Amino acid sequence: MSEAPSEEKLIEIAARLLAEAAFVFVEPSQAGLGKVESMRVARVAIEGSEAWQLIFAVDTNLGRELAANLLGLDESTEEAGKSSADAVGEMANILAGALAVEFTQSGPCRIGIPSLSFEPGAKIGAALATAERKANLVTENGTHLAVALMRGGAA
Amino acid sequence: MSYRILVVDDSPVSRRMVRRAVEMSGLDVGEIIEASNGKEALAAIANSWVDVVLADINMPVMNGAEMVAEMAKTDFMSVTPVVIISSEQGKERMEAMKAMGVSAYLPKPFRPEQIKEVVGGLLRERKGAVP
Repeated sequence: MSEAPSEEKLIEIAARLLAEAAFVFVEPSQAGLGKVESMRVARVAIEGSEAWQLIFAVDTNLGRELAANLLGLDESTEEAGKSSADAVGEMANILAGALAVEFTQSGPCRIGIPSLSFEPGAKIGAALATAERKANLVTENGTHLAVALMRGGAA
Repeated sequence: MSYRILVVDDSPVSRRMVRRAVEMSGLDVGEIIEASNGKEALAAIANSWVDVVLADINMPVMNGAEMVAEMAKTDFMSVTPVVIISSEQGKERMEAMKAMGVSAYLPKPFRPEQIKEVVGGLLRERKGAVP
Protein backbone atom coordinates (compact mmCIF):
# COMPACT_ATOMS: atom_id res chain seq x y z
CA MET A 1 0.00 0.00 0.00
CA SER A 2 1.50 3.36 -1.00
CA GLU A 3 1.87 6.06 1.63
CA ALA A 4 0.54 9.53 0.90
CA PRO A 5 2.91 12.45 1.49
CA SER A 6 2.54 13.92 4.98
CA GLU A 7 0.37 16.99 5.54
CA GLU A 8 3.54 18.99 6.16
CA LYS A 9 4.84 17.86 2.76
CA LEU A 10 1.48 18.69 1.14
CA ILE A 11 1.61 22.21 2.59
CA GLU A 12 5.27 22.66 1.61
CA ILE A 13 4.69 21.56 -2.00
CA ALA A 14 1.50 23.59 -2.41
CA ALA A 15 3.04 26.73 -0.92
CA ARG A 16 6.19 26.43 -3.02
CA LEU A 17 4.44 25.76 -6.32
CA LEU A 18 1.74 28.40 -5.84
CA ALA A 19 4.49 30.94 -5.19
CA GLU A 20 6.77 29.78 -8.04
CA ALA A 21 4.11 29.32 -10.71
CA ALA A 22 1.52 31.94 -9.82
CA PHE A 23 3.04 34.35 -7.28
CA VAL A 24 0.35 33.40 -4.76
CA PHE A 25 1.66 33.19 -1.21
CA VAL A 26 -0.17 30.98 1.27
CA GLU A 27 0.07 29.75 4.83
CA PRO A 28 -1.82 27.05 6.75
CA SER A 29 -5.23 28.05 8.08
CA GLN A 30 -7.31 26.62 10.90
CA ALA A 31 -10.48 27.98 9.29
CA GLY A 32 -12.60 25.56 7.27
CA LEU A 33 -14.20 26.25 3.91
CA GLY A 34 -17.77 26.46 5.27
CA LYS A 35 -18.04 30.21 4.95
CA VAL A 36 -16.69 30.38 1.39
CA GLU A 37 -19.70 31.03 -0.84
CA SER A 38 -18.38 29.45 -4.03
CA MET A 39 -15.24 27.58 -4.96
CA ARG A 40 -13.66 26.41 -8.16
CA VAL A 41 -12.66 22.79 -7.69
CA ALA A 42 -10.25 20.69 -9.76
CA ARG A 43 -9.91 16.93 -9.31
CA VAL A 44 -6.92 15.07 -10.77
CA ALA A 45 -6.40 11.30 -10.69
CA ILE A 46 -3.00 10.06 -9.57
CA GLU A 47 -2.60 6.45 -10.70
CA GLY A 48 0.20 4.36 -9.29
CA SER A 49 0.12 1.04 -7.50
CA GLU A 50 -3.12 2.47 -6.06
CA ALA A 51 -5.60 5.09 -7.22
CA TRP A 52 -5.50 8.51 -5.55
CA GLN A 53 -7.19 11.77 -6.30
CA LEU A 54 -5.89 15.29 -5.76
CA ILE A 55 -8.54 17.87 -4.95
CA PHE A 56 -7.65 21.53 -5.33
CA ALA A 57 -10.39 23.94 -4.25
CA VAL A 58 -10.01 27.70 -4.37
CA ASP A 59 -12.25 30.67 -3.60
CA THR A 60 -13.66 31.90 -6.91
CA ASN A 61 -11.79 35.18 -6.57
CA LEU A 62 -8.50 33.32 -6.24
CA GLY A 63 -9.27 31.50 -9.49
CA ARG A 64 -9.25 34.86 -11.25
CA GLU A 65 -5.99 35.83 -9.52
CA LEU A 66 -4.37 32.53 -10.56
CA ALA A 67 -5.40 33.10 -14.18
CA ALA A 68 -4.11 36.66 -14.15
CA ASN A 69 -0.76 35.70 -12.63
CA LEU A 70 -0.20 32.57 -14.72
CA LEU A 71 -0.93 34.48 -17.92
CA GLY A 72 0.49 37.90 -17.07
CA LEU A 73 -2.91 39.61 -17.27
CA ASP A 74 -4.58 42.29 -15.24
CA GLU A 75 -6.95 40.62 -12.75
CA SER A 76 -9.79 42.93 -13.74
CA THR A 77 -9.79 41.86 -17.41
CA GLU A 78 -12.54 39.76 -18.90
CA GLU A 79 -9.94 37.25 -20.08
CA ALA A 80 -8.73 36.63 -16.52
CA GLY A 81 -12.31 35.81 -15.54
CA LYS A 82 -12.84 33.55 -18.55
CA SER A 83 -9.57 31.69 -17.93
CA SER A 84 -10.02 31.18 -14.20
CA ALA A 85 -11.47 27.65 -14.35
CA ASP A 86 -8.73 26.50 -16.72
CA ALA A 87 -6.10 28.18 -14.53
CA VAL A 88 -7.32 26.27 -11.47
CA GLY A 89 -7.11 23.06 -13.51
CA GLU A 90 -3.59 23.91 -14.65
CA MET A 91 -2.46 24.66 -11.11
CA ALA A 92 -4.02 21.38 -9.92
CA ASN A 93 -2.16 19.59 -12.69
CA ILE A 94 1.15 21.11 -11.56
CA LEU A 95 0.43 20.15 -7.93
CA ALA A 96 -0.54 16.61 -8.92
CA GLY A 97 2.68 16.19 -10.89
CA ALA A 98 4.82 17.26 -7.94
CA LEU A 99 2.87 15.10 -5.48
CA ALA A 100 2.99 12.10 -7.82
CA VAL A 101 6.77 12.11 -7.46
CA GLU A 102 6.21 11.48 -3.74
CA PHE A 103 4.30 8.30 -4.61
CA THR A 104 6.85 6.95 -7.06
CA GLN A 105 8.81 5.17 -4.34
CA SER A 106 6.22 2.42 -4.90
CA GLY A 107 6.55 2.34 -8.70
CA PRO A 108 5.50 4.34 -11.75
CA CYS A 109 2.80 6.93 -11.24
CA ARG A 110 0.73 8.86 -13.78
CA ILE A 111 -1.63 11.76 -13.50
CA GLY A 112 -4.92 12.32 -15.29
CA ILE A 113 -6.63 15.28 -16.94
CA PRO A 114 -8.23 17.69 -14.41
CA SER A 115 -12.00 17.65 -14.06
CA LEU A 116 -13.46 21.00 -13.02
CA SER A 117 -16.52 22.02 -11.05
CA PHE A 118 -18.03 24.94 -9.19
CA GLU A 119 -19.16 24.08 -5.63
CA PRO A 120 -20.16 25.83 -2.38
CA GLY A 121 -17.40 25.88 0.24
CA ALA A 122 -19.56 23.95 2.71
CA LYS A 123 -20.06 21.11 0.25
CA ILE A 124 -16.41 20.70 -0.69
CA GLY A 125 -15.39 21.18 2.96
CA ALA A 126 -17.65 18.26 3.94
CA ALA A 127 -16.28 16.12 1.11
CA LEU A 128 -12.70 16.78 2.22
CA ALA A 129 -13.45 15.74 5.82
CA THR A 130 -12.63 12.14 4.85
CA ALA A 131 -9.46 12.99 2.90
CA GLU A 132 -6.35 11.00 3.76
CA ARG A 133 -4.34 14.22 3.73
CA LYS A 134 -5.71 17.75 3.70
CA ALA A 135 -4.33 21.26 3.99
CA ASN A 136 -6.54 24.30 4.47
CA LEU A 137 -4.62 27.36 3.33
CA VAL A 138 -5.14 31.09 3.22
CA THR A 139 -3.48 33.68 1.01
CA GLU A 140 -1.98 36.95 2.20
CA ASN A 141 -5.21 38.59 0.95
CA GLY A 142 -7.32 36.34 3.16
CA THR A 143 -8.80 34.14 0.41
CA HIS A 144 -9.24 30.47 1.21
CA LEU A 145 -8.15 27.35 -0.62
CA ALA A 146 -7.57 23.69 0.14
CA VAL A 147 -5.42 20.89 -1.22
CA ALA A 148 -6.30 17.30 -0.37
CA LEU A 149 -5.45 13.74 -1.30
CA MET A 150 -8.20 11.13 -1.27
CA ARG A 151 -7.56 7.41 -1.58
CA GLY A 152 -9.48 5.97 -4.55
CA GLY A 153 -11.55 8.04 -6.93
CA ALA A 154 -14.41 9.27 -4.76
CA ALA A 155 -14.77 12.73 -3.25
CA MET B 1 16.41 33.12 -39.28
CA SER B 2 13.21 33.22 -37.23
CA TYR B 3 11.91 29.95 -35.88
CA ARG B 4 8.44 28.45 -36.13
CA ILE B 5 7.33 26.76 -32.93
CA LEU B 6 4.33 24.49 -32.38
CA VAL B 7 2.77 24.41 -28.89
CA VAL B 8 0.57 21.38 -28.20
CA ASP B 9 -1.64 21.27 -25.10
CA ASP B 10 -5.35 20.74 -24.47
CA SER B 11 -5.39 23.52 -21.87
CA PRO B 12 -5.66 27.02 -23.39
CA VAL B 13 -4.10 28.45 -20.22
CA SER B 14 -1.15 26.09 -20.50
CA ARG B 15 -0.66 26.90 -24.19
CA ARG B 16 -0.67 30.59 -23.35
CA MET B 17 1.81 30.05 -20.49
CA VAL B 18 4.19 28.27 -22.88
CA ARG B 19 3.66 30.91 -25.57
CA ARG B 20 4.40 33.67 -23.05
CA ALA B 21 7.56 31.93 -21.81
CA VAL B 22 8.78 31.44 -25.40
CA GLU B 23 8.14 35.11 -26.16
CA MET B 24 9.98 36.15 -22.99
CA SER B 25 12.88 33.75 -23.62
CA GLY B 26 14.63 35.97 -26.15
CA LEU B 27 14.65 33.27 -28.83
CA ASP B 28 14.31 34.50 -32.40
CA VAL B 29 10.74 33.33 -32.88
CA GLY B 30 8.92 34.14 -36.09
CA GLU B 31 5.64 32.37 -35.40
CA ILE B 32 4.10 30.31 -32.64
CA ILE B 33 1.28 28.04 -33.75
CA GLU B 34 -0.96 25.99 -31.47
CA ALA B 35 -2.69 22.61 -31.41
CA SER B 36 -4.91 21.18 -28.70
CA ASN B 37 -3.93 17.52 -29.08
CA GLY B 38 -1.48 15.22 -30.87
CA LYS B 39 -3.76 14.68 -33.86
CA GLU B 40 -4.05 18.40 -34.55
CA ALA B 41 -0.28 18.71 -34.09
CA LEU B 42 0.46 16.02 -36.70
CA ALA B 43 -1.80 17.84 -39.17
CA ALA B 44 0.01 21.11 -38.48
CA ILE B 45 3.46 19.53 -38.98
CA ALA B 46 2.30 17.80 -42.17
CA ASN B 47 1.06 21.09 -43.61
CA SER B 48 3.97 23.40 -42.86
CA TRP B 49 7.53 23.57 -41.54
CA VAL B 50 7.91 23.43 -37.78
CA ASP B 51 11.33 23.91 -36.14
CA VAL B 52 10.42 22.48 -32.75
CA VAL B 53 7.36 21.03 -31.02
CA LEU B 54 6.61 21.84 -27.37
CA ALA B 55 4.01 19.32 -26.19
CA ASP B 56 2.15 18.15 -23.11
CA ILE B 57 1.71 14.42 -22.44
CA ASN B 58 -1.83 14.14 -21.07
CA MET B 59 -4.25 15.23 -23.76
CA PRO B 60 -7.55 13.86 -25.06
CA VAL B 61 -7.91 12.45 -28.62
CA MET B 62 -4.16 11.77 -29.03
CA ASN B 63 -1.71 12.20 -26.17
CA GLY B 64 1.91 13.33 -26.36
CA ALA B 65 3.38 9.81 -26.33
CA GLU B 66 1.09 8.69 -29.17
CA MET B 67 1.99 11.81 -31.13
CA VAL B 68 5.72 11.12 -30.77
CA ALA B 69 5.20 7.50 -31.85
CA GLU B 70 3.32 8.69 -34.97
CA MET B 71 6.01 11.26 -35.78
CA ALA B 72 8.67 8.52 -35.63
CA LYS B 73 6.92 6.71 -38.52
CA THR B 74 7.44 9.58 -40.98
CA ASP B 75 10.94 10.60 -42.12
CA PHE B 76 10.52 14.37 -42.10
CA MET B 77 8.54 14.38 -38.85
CA SER B 78 10.98 12.07 -37.09
CA VAL B 79 13.72 14.71 -37.31
CA THR B 80 11.55 17.45 -35.79
CA PRO B 81 12.66 17.90 -32.17
CA VAL B 82 9.95 17.41 -29.55
CA VAL B 83 10.22 18.92 -26.07
CA ILE B 84 7.74 17.53 -23.56
CA ILE B 85 6.50 20.17 -21.12
CA SER B 86 4.53 18.35 -18.46
CA SER B 87 3.57 18.27 -14.81
CA GLU B 88 4.55 14.61 -14.74
CA GLN B 89 8.02 14.43 -13.24
CA GLY B 90 8.47 10.70 -12.66
CA LYS B 91 11.94 9.51 -13.65
CA GLU B 92 10.56 6.39 -15.36
CA ARG B 93 8.12 8.46 -17.41
CA MET B 94 10.86 10.87 -18.51
CA GLU B 95 13.18 8.02 -19.49
CA ALA B 96 10.41 6.24 -21.41
CA MET B 97 9.63 9.43 -23.35
CA LYS B 98 13.30 9.99 -24.17
CA ALA B 99 13.58 6.37 -25.35
CA MET B 100 10.69 7.09 -27.74
CA GLY B 101 12.71 9.90 -29.32
CA VAL B 102 11.72 12.94 -27.29
CA SER B 103 14.59 15.45 -27.38
CA ALA B 104 14.08 17.00 -23.94
CA TYR B 105 11.73 17.06 -20.98
CA LEU B 106 10.81 20.22 -19.07
CA PRO B 107 8.79 19.82 -15.86
CA LYS B 108 6.16 22.43 -14.92
CA PRO B 109 6.46 25.04 -13.57
CA PHE B 110 9.19 26.27 -15.90
CA ARG B 111 10.92 29.59 -16.49
CA PRO B 112 11.63 31.42 -19.77
CA GLU B 113 15.39 30.89 -19.19
CA GLN B 114 14.84 27.13 -19.19
CA ILE B 115 12.95 27.40 -22.49
CA LYS B 116 15.83 29.43 -23.93
CA GLU B 117 18.44 26.94 -22.79
CA VAL B 118 16.64 23.76 -23.88
CA VAL B 119 14.83 24.96 -27.02
CA GLY B 120 17.66 27.27 -28.09
CA GLY B 121 20.12 24.38 -27.91
CA LEU B 122 17.90 22.11 -30.00
CA LEU B 123 17.27 24.83 -32.59
CA ARG B 124 21.00 25.51 -32.94
CA GLU B 125 21.66 21.77 -33.38
CA ARG B 126 18.95 21.52 -36.00
CA LYS B 127 20.15 24.57 -37.87
CA GLY B 128 23.63 23.03 -37.99
CA ALA B 129 22.22 19.74 -39.29
CA VAL B 130 20.11 21.19 -42.12
CA PRO B 131 22.22 21.43 -45.32
